[in-house]
Amino acid sequence: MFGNEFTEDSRAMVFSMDLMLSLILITVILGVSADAMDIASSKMEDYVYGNSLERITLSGADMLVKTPGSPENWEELNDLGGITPGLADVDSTNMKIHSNIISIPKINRLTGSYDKLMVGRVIPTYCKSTLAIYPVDTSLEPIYVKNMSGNYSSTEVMVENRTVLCNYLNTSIILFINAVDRSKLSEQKQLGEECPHFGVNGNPAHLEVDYRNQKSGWVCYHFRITQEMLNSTDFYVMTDPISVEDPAAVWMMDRPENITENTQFFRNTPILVNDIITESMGNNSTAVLWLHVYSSGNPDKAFNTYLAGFPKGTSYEKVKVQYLNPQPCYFVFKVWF
Amino acid sequence: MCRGKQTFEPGYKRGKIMDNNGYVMSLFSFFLILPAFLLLMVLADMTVSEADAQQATLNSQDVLGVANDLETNLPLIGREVLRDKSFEVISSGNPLLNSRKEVKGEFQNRMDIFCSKYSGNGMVVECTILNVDNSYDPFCVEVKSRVAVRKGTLKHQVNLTQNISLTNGSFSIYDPLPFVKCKNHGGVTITEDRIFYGNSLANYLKSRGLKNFEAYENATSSLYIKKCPYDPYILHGNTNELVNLKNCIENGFYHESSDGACFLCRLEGKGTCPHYGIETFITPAPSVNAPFSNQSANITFPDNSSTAPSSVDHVIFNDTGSHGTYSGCKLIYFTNGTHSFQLYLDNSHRQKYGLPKF
Repeated sequence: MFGNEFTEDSRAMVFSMDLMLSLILITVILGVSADAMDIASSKMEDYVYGNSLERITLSGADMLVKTPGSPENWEELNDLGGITPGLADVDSTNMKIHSNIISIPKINRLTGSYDKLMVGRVIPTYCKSTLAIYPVDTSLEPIYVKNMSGNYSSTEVMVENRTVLCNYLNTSIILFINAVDRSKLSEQKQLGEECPHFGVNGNPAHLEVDYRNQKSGWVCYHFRITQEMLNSTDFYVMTDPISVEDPAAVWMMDRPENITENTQFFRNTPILVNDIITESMGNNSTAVLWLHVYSSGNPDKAFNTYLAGFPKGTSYEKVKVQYLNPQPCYFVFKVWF
Repeated sequence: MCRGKQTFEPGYKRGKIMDNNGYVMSLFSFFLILPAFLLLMVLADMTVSEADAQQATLNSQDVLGVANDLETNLPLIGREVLRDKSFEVISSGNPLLNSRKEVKGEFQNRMDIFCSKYSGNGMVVECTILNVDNSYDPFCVEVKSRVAVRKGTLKHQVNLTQNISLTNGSFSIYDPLPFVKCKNHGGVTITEDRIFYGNSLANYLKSRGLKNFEAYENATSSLYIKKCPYDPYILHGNTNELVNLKNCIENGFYHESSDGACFLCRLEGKGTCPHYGIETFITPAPSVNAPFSNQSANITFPDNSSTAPSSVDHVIFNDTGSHGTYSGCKLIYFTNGTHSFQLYLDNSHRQKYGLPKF
């Protein structure tokens, strides 16, 4: 058995057929076992992944970008107890959540209390994280919600980078006169409202502009302003396109209690109107003002007009129509143990 | 199979498919290719699993996309239903018997048609309108619905509560109440965006035995429901010239009111209801100035000619009891040299709108 018989038989074969067959069987069994092991290990891997850094980062980013937090107006509350942060913007008129559009007041609130709001609520207590918002428009400064300059204690850092929309400058459109779209309609629909200039004190009435028949006239809309808004906001009259080609175009702003006829030309730049509003409001805490825009009625020279609010102190270079709508930004969320 | 000392001599060497025992493949060859079969099966299984996982992901995105689409379209379709129901009432002059039920039924029909557009590709979409009722905001109607989307084994179901705005949207919604109330008294006509009553409102008030009904000959009121910006409402009386009140009347704005009828009850022809509702001014026709009248005065003191039913729609159209329609005193809010524009307002409404009391 252990002599020459083992290495070669009478036909000079090293392996007997039985041994060969048994080796094949063993190989098959080993193969099947390895496959089973592989399946088991992938399941284990899944389980480990469940608690891994990647899952924590992904779900944390999802929570911040896709939900408005709980309660939805958490950024307005002073007490942070029981709050779960989320950055998704909520439309105040219909309470609809804008997923992937993040709200700048929520970001600002999160910046102030990042660790308190994030640790134990969005990421586990044993994790550390940073969050930054980089606008695609490089002329705007990035927001470092939480910054930790490069001194990561862990070798493994998970980074989640998402492209989101953000009303970066926290602007608001107080009033929008969509004359360009309206001028292209075949049927004449009323644009604007009956303004207080409707034949008061012998002053000429503000007859509505008629783009279909190319008759000049006015478009007038009201807006409500409070002292609180006036103290925190710079209001600008802006046009789109910025350069108004209509030579007859003028605008004015007044209040029914103090009607004026002081028209002003558009200047092809945003016009700060806080002084006019302050003067019109006087000591009142709330006032309804009117913006009146006169144009020649030529559809080819029609332009849109905005009354826009920018946070107080926004530099004049940043007062642009393009910033009235949400801007694309990179949401960069880093997590490590 | 191997037998005794039989040598393995593959059939193909002898130019045959089978060996002498009739076997195509020797046991040895079979064992050699067995692992290859096993590997092939594992690979096939993995491929099928991966394809299933990808399909499930795609289905899940489809299902969520349809559910989001429905959620977005529900308020838009609901607003169209409210507009069409209110147009139906103003066209016929006949009120709805149960507006909540009828709006809900019509809304359900339109959602069924809308959902049927998704029916291809194995998708089953159902939207059930559970309830249509008043919202906390009288300028909105609250709709509760259930959206269920199924595709294969995937199912997504969500219960929604949404407010449909009467004022914010691409089109305006009519106020049906005057058309119902005046139908049997001569009817009303529409001139631009205002309701012109002609004799019908005076006839309606006369039929109820109210004094000074003549004040409402050729009266007008707003056709569309628009929310008043002069809020707080005392801003209406902010100046002696009452310019805000004048502008409010010219634009036909509506105001929140606990006595005014809500929109859904207006569809039923009710001038007043227990719900928190809305009110607007019904403006009497301007009167010709007497040559010696004092035009600057915006207040007159009560006498037989200066009182009439108070010019608020829920007061004029409140025919539920003997004291529903009460009188107001004349308030001139504008004169243009030849005509005076006036309202008749009771003291409680004057207080609400910051106007001088009598």
